[in-house]
Amino acid sequence: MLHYILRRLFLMVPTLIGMTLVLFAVVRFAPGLTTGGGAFGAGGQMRNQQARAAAEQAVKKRLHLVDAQGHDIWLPMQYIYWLNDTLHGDFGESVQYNLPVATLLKERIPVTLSINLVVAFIVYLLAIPGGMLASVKRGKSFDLFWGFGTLALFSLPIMWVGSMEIGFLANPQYLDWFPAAGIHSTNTMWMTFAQYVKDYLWHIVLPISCLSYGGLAFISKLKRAAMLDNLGQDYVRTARAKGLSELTIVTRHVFRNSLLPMITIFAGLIPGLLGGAVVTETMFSIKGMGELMLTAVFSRDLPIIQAEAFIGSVISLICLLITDICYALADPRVSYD
Amino acid sequence: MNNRFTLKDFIFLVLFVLVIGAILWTGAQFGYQEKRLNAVQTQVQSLNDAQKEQSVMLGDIRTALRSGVQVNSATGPATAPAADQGRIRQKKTDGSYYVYFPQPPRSPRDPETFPDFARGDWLVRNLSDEPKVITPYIEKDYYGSLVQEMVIEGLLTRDPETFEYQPQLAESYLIGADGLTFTFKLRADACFSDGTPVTADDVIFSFKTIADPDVDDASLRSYFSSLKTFRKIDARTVEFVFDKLYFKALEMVGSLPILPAHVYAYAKGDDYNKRGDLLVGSGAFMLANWDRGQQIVLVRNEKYYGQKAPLDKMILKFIKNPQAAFQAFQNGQLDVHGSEPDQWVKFSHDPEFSKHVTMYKYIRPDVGYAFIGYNEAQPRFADKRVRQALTLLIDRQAIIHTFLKDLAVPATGPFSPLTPQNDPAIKPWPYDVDQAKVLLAQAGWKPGPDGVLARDGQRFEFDLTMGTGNPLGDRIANYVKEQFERAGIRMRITPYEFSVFTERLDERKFDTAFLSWSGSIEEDPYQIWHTDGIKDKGSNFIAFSNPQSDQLIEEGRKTLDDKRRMEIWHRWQTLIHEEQPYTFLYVPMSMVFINERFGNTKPYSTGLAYGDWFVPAKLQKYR
Amino acid sequence: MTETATPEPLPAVGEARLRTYWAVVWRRFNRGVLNRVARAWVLVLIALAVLVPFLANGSPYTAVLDGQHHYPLLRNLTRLDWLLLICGALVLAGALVHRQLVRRHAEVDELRSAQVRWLAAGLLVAAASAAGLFGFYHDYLDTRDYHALQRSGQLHEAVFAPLPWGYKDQEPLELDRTFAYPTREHFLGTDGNGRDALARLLWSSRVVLAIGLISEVIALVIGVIYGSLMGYFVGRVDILGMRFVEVVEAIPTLFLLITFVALYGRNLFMLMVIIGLTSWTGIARFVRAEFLRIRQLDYVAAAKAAGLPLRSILFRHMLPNGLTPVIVTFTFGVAGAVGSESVLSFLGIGVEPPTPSWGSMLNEAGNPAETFRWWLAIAPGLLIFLTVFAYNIIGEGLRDAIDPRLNKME
Repeated sequence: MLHYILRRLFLMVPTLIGMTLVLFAVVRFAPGLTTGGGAFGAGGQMRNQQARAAAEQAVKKRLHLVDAQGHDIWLPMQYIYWLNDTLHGDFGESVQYNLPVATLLKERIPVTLSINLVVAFIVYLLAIPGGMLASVKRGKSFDLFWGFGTLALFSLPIMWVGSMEIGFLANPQYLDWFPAAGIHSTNTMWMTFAQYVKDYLWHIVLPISCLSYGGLAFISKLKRAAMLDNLGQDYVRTARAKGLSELTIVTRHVFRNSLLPMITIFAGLIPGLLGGAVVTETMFSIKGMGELMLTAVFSRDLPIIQAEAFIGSVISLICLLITDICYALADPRVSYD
Repeated sequence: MNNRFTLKDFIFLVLFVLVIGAILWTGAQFGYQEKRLNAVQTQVQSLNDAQKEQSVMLGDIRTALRSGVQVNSATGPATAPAADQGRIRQKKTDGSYYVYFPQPPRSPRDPETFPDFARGDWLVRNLSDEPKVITPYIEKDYYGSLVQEMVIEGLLTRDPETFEYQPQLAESYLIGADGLTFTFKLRADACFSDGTPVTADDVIFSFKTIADPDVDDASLRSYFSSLKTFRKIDARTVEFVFDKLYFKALEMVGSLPILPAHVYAYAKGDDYNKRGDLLVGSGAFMLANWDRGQQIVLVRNEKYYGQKAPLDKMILKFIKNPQAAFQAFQNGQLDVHGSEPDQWVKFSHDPEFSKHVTMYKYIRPDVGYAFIGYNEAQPRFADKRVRQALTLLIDRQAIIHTFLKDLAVPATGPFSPLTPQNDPAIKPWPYDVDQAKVLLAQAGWKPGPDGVLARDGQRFEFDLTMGTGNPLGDRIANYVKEQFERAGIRMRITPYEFSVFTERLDERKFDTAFLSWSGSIEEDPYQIWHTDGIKDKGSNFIAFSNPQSDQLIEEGRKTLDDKRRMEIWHRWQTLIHEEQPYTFLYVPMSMVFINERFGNTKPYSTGLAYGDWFVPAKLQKYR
Repeated sequence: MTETATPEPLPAVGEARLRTYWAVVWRRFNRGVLNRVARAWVLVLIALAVLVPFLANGSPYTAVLDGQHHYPLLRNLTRLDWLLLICGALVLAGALVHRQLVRRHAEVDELRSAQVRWLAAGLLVAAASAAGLFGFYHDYLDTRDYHALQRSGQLHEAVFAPLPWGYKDQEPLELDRTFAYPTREHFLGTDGNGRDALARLLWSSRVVLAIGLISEVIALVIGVIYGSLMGYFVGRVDILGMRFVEVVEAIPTLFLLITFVALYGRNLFMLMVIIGLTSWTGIARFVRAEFLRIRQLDYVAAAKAAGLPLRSILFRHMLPNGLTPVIVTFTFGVAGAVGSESVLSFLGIGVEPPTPSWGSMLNEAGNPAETFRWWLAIAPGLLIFLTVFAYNIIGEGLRDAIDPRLNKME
């Protein structure tokens, strides 16, 4: 077992290098790299050519695209410089914000993480009982409707739901139940903690509703399949023969046994938690990781893109490893490849 | 079996969930406490400031009483001291020009003359996006300069109605007879917001910082390329020498914000660049704090040497989504809202809405104009008749009426219609499809067998390059495409992201381009229209080269006499109008909704002046 | 366990109908009501995509102008319109041919080779017509505005299409009929340029189908080749291959899409290639898993012993049996591609104007920067939902049809 884990960890390194190298190369080859946001200065004017050339050179030096004399650095060397910096914990400074990337990440990760955790919680809360019920009543109307309903929800395009919600539920002209943007009101300074939390919850109702319906179908299907798998096992038949009620069988035995795939899937969902839902964050003007990535890509803000990619890759690799370990632990038949 | 989920595992699961919940709760508490701490800090700060102001007032009252001053009657408006007492603007016998204002300039519509004038209350505004940097000289975007505009000042300022230059931090300035030497004398009482007097050393420091190649202000620096020397004459006097005649020289040295050397001093240029939130100046407001992600708070500078602002505080929020901003305005959380065209159309005539809202529609002199530029490096666009025909095919009046809801005015050239630089006698080209077809035929373009115009076997097909994310721009582009097809011209719309778009413009990889320039009170056409601007990725990306235009531009730049210079610009504008290197589309208006409790809010020619707004005592909302 | 379905009738002699695996699956699939509805919806979309120039067009079928007869609609058909008509006709012909073939051939092998031959012939005809059209024919640019002509009374005896608006016919700007509410003239109102919303919805079907199918076909091809190679050559090839798959999977898709779009522009074809390039990993994994399972089986060893070339072993023997999970993934992938396209259009980096797509129509209606125009937002979103839902139902239906035991208890 230990041998397996060590081998996987060892294999992670080239994968990590591969991931970051690919992203690195893709972004460096994208046009419009260094002008980024620097072409338009204060006042929105297109700056004159000398200004832009000078600004470009300054940015390039900072990103190690050119050395101190202004000569281009070879791409692999650029990568090595970046890797060196990152491994020392220096994520660099954002070109747009003039802030260290670490500060930006520190601001934004909690936002995205909290929203996504709440979403995950809600999804699991709804999907697990739903899947259980569907498996127990398979073939009957509940199962059919549940399957139909979750598939329908899964097919809803998120922008449509979002714009409908904003347009109808957050619009003073129709129903003005919820706010249209952000996660805090503009006057949080004068709130008590209870009001602060209530205000936060009020703001995130719409984004969360946009994000949670999609996962329902997936999770409940998994749960249902896992339950059905277990319901077909011998021990269930034995339990029935022993005279246990269906309810006891389902809740005490089958439920626990089918919970393991849920947990392993959760480990696989964690990278998605950090990546954020770009569309939702954009529509609701939430300053989270997804929105950061989007604006960074649009303005070619290299340090942010690379930092986010690096963190995302590390976390997803670790989660993959955890998932595999969980499976290996759970099922002794799985060979260590 | 191995995959049993026992009670132990269940407990672990619950603990796990609790841990996550605890982390979230502590995070929220932390964030909340931080905000509270900031709130408390600003409150303490404002209490301190109020106390200071009160002690100053007490001192003043004591001195006034000692010198036996009469107390004014409560009725009748307080008359402000005649602002133009002692002012001098004269051309001396040796050809030099001298301007002296003994008092700092007051606003044309002095708030203190209003009968219900009172100090106090806050203004909550929205900057549509959070600025990245607010430190002067290195601000990255428009929002940074919006924050700075009330906090820092230059040696000169413009009169909000006449655009004339007035000495602000300077008490007087002298332009030498040769037009190359500018001598400024600072006011004795000019001081920064911490009380330190503004001295020649600060001026020298500011200009030295601009010139420092390590400071990240390349675009600003390039404007000062013809400034040869600047030196300190005495503690309050600075002399600037230029190496050639340039009509903007006075503007350049006069408008550079003067920074306190003791605050901004730095060892290496890079140290300067790293401070993104240091904003200290001599203006009517000062920076209180910047809650990242939430707002920036400016408070009144109690030590201001000039006309003190009536408002206690200005809070600048960052609400990007215009719908959310409008919602906040309607809820009273914002006091000002820069309205979108459709919001204006919907609400400006709404009687319920207008009862509680002051509304203005005005043009800002620096708003610039929208245009379509034709790449004259391509032979088909080098022919003036083709460009004129393309302009004739676009019904600019209908664009303004339908897409912009009449919230724009037609543009006939690159100059702002508010300023004397624009020639009002020039009328825009009409909308005439038949005439356009005639011109195109004259230029040799005949309809081919498939309906598309062709000349010498080449079809009239081209791309319109533009930026993404602008729905109004997309609509105009779609309209233009249809119009061109009426004449047999195929146009493809190719939107690019901004950074790619500017790159393509730089490398001249486009056929036609659709964008806007922003403007200024007086434009220098050199960068965009002179032949020198074509090479080296200059701003003249359409490769417009006309010897007559070049000559007029050069002459205008050298002419310091305002009246003569405007005549030159008018002649140049007539030439451009004939040549149509751009199809000038429109100049957008700005619309604003203001909460009704504010007085004296009417915009000047230069735009809104927040420093003149006040709230009568019984309407004040925030303390 | 035994199936509780009614026993199927015995085949008539000579019909290969019952014997092919896919025929069985297809019949099982068609037994579900929902599946049939979804299938009908997709067919309606396909028919719409082919026939829309005749249903919604701003040029009349016939008209009399200045005393002369004109046939503007036919004259203004583009190369793409003709190509789609030809392909549609080929598909119909193919369906008829298929029925004949099934009736004529009793043996599955014969049937298969006949099918392949006819398929090749059909593809050849399609390719030839594409080459001919795009090489020699130029789209005609009609400078006349037929609606304006009709308003001014110069047009006589004009017969317009059932919906007399095309996807880019704008109401004249002076009339200011932009963002109009639904009226009798414009059933779903107009968009920001005064173009009929219903017409644009109908024309968007092309973009939707194209993106769904072509990007998934690309993903399929790449995924199948990659996965089969990995699954066949286990060992180092497999380990390296899986690392690469993980790398591609870990890259956030949206980011890759945005970067590619920036690099290569907003070409519709490029968009499809890019979506395909980012979604092949799921298919590759499934194919690999199937191949890992199959390679142990006897018939593969027999083929190897017989010395058959690799290509043949992979694609003629192993692949047809390993494709089952792939088909399902393919269908779900199509749904995902449609969703991706609408997200990209919503973010403003999808199809270029004036091509209509449901995603870009949603963008126009629900753009957070402008006022919300609900009547324009409901229809495109609803259509995206129905299409994605239909594909998802088909995917689920196929999965259940392939392995009905998954749905039932043992």
